[in-house]
Amino acid sequence: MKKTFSRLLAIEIKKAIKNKFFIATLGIATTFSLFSAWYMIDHYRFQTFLSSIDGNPMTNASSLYNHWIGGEAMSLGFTLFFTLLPLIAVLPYGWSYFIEDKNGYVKTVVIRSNKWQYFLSKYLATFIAGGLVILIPLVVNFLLVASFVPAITPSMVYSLRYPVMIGSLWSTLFYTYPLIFVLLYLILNFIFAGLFATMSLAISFFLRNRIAIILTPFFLIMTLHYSRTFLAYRYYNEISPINYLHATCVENAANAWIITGQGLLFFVLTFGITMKLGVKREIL
Amino acid sequence: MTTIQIEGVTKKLKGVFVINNVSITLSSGNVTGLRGVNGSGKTMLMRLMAGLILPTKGTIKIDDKILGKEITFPESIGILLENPAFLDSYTGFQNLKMLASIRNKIDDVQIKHTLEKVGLDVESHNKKYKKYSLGMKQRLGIAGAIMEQPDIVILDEPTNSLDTAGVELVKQIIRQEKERGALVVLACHDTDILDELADDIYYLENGSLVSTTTRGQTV
Repeated sequence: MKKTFSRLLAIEIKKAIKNKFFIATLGIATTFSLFSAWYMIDHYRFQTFLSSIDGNPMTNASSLYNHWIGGEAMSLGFTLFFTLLPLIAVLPYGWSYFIEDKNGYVKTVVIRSNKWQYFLSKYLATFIAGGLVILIPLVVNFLLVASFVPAITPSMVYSLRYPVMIGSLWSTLFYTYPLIFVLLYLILNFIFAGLFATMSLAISFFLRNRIAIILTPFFLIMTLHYSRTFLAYRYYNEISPINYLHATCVENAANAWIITGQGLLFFVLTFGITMKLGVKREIL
Repeated sequence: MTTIQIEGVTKKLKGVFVINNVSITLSSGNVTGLRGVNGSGKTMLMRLMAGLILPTKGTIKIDDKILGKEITFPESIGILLENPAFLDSYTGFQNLKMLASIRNKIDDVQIKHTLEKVGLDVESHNKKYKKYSLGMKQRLGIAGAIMEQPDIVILDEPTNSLDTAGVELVKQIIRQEKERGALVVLACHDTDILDELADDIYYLENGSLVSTTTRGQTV
């Protein structure tokens, strides 16, 4: 039984990653991240040039950690990547259950395994595809920017250049071990992108339109994003994933409890709906 | 020896009885035919036998194990229900290989042998499913149902979209499956095919069993 599940999972992951939607979405997301890298590398060179005229090199003000896409908040690439993140995560495989249910493919798979294994492998593959399509462009951007901009440890003397607020998530790490800070943010992005992708899987049980299934998670996250103007300024903590998935504070400090709470809520809802309704659902 | 015991099975969907108090017993080495007009409940009864849907009332036992309680699906089953369903972006061979790798019972040679058996030539093995004609899709669907030599083979309108030669081939395959000892359930609009192949024919009307024919004897 265990072997059947691992085989089914391997098939699902292969289907999720070796499909044209994954490749196309990865291409688009990587293009956004390359736009950011291009802009920021150029920006770094310009700053270095200006500093050489001024006479103050401000060496500690410009670093890889405020020039990679997760650390900058000025390029078009950054805006497109983080604003569209919930949509990008869904595109590779979030719709797959809907299609397989619609064309009857589910039947041929479940009779060879069982519904529990099918939906668990579908959930995991959707999660991984969504996570990877966000993680890979971030890593590509980080490595590319690192090839041109030195990885100087951020200094609090230039706090305007390093907007990681005091008390913000992993802020101590940012000013001491920034590489670990970046690695943790990459993991955080992978997890949340995976969860956004599984939102569309869960939504497939309620909606019968592929476009609606793809767009609904994006609109839900957008609703949360804009609702921050009702709540966030009262507590001065970031509640929008679009903002807190960016590794430096765009508006408010990122709060570990809020992020954990939202992550758990997304997981419980998506996993709960997928497994409970999926296993219970009759296959017509 | 595989048996399917359907005991007083009723299925209600959205308040409508799609299967109404049906009781039949099917055993291996036989071809069981299901006859009836569109919407009479043939496909629904097949879905029930496959464990894809569960009865509202009554039980279905596969080798004395209650479907939905003791087992989720029959342990060894191949199905072709309504239209064949495969992944467009994979070839016919890749589609079957992917499905076969779940149970891991057969190898590539057996898959290719099955593809040839249903009349799909070597060239079409490596053609993407989306480029298949309707007839080729149907043949691939039949191949998917029989490739693992399951104990139970459920075929719903297997001759759809097939030419005369294709129909003859399907008839031959069904006979071979019977000889192998499989329990074959066949639904077909073509009464001649059912009369020719089926040992027992159950006639369904509005979800109810109205008559049974056993090799020419109507009950």
